[in-house]
Amino acid sequence: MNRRTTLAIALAASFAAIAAAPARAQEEIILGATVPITGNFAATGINYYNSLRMAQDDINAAGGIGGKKVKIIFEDSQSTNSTAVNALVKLVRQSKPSLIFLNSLSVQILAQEQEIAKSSVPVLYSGALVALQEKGNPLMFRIRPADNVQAGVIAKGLADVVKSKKPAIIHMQDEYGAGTAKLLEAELAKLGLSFAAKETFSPRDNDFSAQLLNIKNSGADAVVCVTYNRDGALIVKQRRSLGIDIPFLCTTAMFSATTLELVEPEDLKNVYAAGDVVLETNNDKSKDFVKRYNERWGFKPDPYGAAYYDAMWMVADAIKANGTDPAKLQEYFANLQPWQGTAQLYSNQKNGTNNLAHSAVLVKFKPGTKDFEQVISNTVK
Amino acid sequence: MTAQIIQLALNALAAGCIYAVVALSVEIAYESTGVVNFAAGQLVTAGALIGLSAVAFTKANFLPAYLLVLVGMSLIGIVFLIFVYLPLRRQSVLTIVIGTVGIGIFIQNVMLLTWGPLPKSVRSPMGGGALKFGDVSVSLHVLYVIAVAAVLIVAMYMLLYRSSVGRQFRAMAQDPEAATLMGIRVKALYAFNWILVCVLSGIAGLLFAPMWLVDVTSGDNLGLKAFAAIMIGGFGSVPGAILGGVIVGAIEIFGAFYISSNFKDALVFASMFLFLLVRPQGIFGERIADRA
Repeated sequence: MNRRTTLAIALAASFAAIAAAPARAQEEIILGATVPITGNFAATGINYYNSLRMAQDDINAAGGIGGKKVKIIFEDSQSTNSTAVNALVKLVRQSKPSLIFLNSLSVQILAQEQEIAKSSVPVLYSGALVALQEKGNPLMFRIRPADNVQAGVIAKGLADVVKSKKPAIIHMQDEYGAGTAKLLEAELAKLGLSFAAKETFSPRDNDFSAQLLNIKNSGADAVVCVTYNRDGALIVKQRRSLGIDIPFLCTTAMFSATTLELVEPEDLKNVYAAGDVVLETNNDKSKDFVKRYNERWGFKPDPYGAAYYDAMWMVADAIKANGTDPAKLQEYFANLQPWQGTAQLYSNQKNGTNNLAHSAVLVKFKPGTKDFEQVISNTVK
Repeated sequence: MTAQIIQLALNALAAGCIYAVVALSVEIAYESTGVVNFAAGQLVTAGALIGLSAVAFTKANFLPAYLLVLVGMSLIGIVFLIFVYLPLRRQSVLTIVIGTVGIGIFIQNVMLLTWGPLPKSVRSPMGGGALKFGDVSVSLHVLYVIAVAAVLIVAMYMLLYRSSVGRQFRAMAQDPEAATLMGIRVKALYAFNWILVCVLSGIAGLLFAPMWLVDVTSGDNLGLKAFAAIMIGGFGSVPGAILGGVIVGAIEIFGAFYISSNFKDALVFASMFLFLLVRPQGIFGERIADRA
């Protein structure tokens, strides 16, 4: 084979590859996702990064959607708002997905909101901040219960379960922490209670002794702890080493396997956690999901992971029913009929919030273990 | 109330000791090479993460695990010397500083690929126990941190101010050519310097991780606090770095307790800013004119 023939074959192969590319692309349904794969919030992001990939593989193994494979293009939203906005813009412009999964970080989603409005692509997100629904963006649908549902279950837990008369709060100094604290204050006011102490911390704080001792001095008989994974773990650990044994009612991150990896069973004595659901006992779908997720990724899923797994299957149903046109998908979620997933009975109550999930539970960790049991639940109609 | 002050003081001292050890590593690099090492935070994280793997590899046999960390950090020191310092040492100080920023980012990315993004819990050689004195409860690891940091600080002080190595370091920093003419083996000292810097950072990593967990960005904040400690204590002063570290720990924890937890970090950096305005040489540092 002379050089000219070799060159001709190489050129022909290149043209064939280029020509085949659009054909391959047409065979795939493209979705997008902005997920914190690295950075400070990766411990949260890993749960739904895994479950989205798992749902994608499950759907494709079952024959895809209408015979077409589905592919999620992931962009790393890392820890900053600017990275999250850039990730979204890149997805919209380069990948042209039919729908995008945003992450669970309300602050980042707030920053992305204007770009979402410009894009005409519907998004499913799990940030729980109530301010997000107040934007009234018709393209945005929430797949986890909003903070007011979680605040309701924590307030109920303070009043009915731990019988607190003088609660305190420690929360992250961001929109999520401050927003949840405000909602809780409103819920407690309905019960005639108020916080005896309000302490805050910043995202990279390491030592919480000053805050915890201030809470101890306030005479509080219970503490609400609004955190992400790493800080939540550090707070319950340091609380134990300071000998503070009043009940701690924590937000969803305490549920997560990635948080539970960081603590000892002894750290969880008298600790409660509010979250969406107890996946291990919720229904057959959730039990199967927990088993398969654990087998594939080596740790148990959390409610975030379950919500995105459900969301991906809802999207598959939406595409089966309405095709891949973003406007049609938006319409599907705007009129979502009750849809039973692993974590929730999803529906759009058409009250202007576009919230698809409406229930939360409070669990208590069993003594000397990292296992938990449901103590109360709260559903917002 | 006294019990709480003791409690806070112990926590502040433990945090301050860690900042002091990191600050010491920055100070040694500066004393001997005139370079401000902006990769300090990432080197601390590297020590913690290598420690995590070493403890797992040796099945929690801490002595060999910690020796592995020291060897690993020494190797990083040699890599730092060969690929960053020696090629850049004849460039301006600013170029070398940018080089340290670059290698810091490189180290962080390598750590991300090796250990992943999730925070991790690291075991302490002291276990998870705590001592109780009345209302004061202090974990054994906190006492261990204070003791190890104290020994390190004394050892480094002796090395830098009471040994010929310290004198050679300073001679080398002032004029490497003259130091060579005086018979000082400058290249060997450079190697020793960067190994020492990395080993100290690694030890800081082993000290903080069991208290505060570790992920690939953990050291960033420690590095910043160490720089605040140096600015407060005085650039170019080892006792200043140590005192600065303890002061930063105290401002953080007592400030959060007595003023507000909202301003914990703000108080540290406002204090640093105040020092820059009122006493730019810090507590023990030389005035710039004196150094010149």
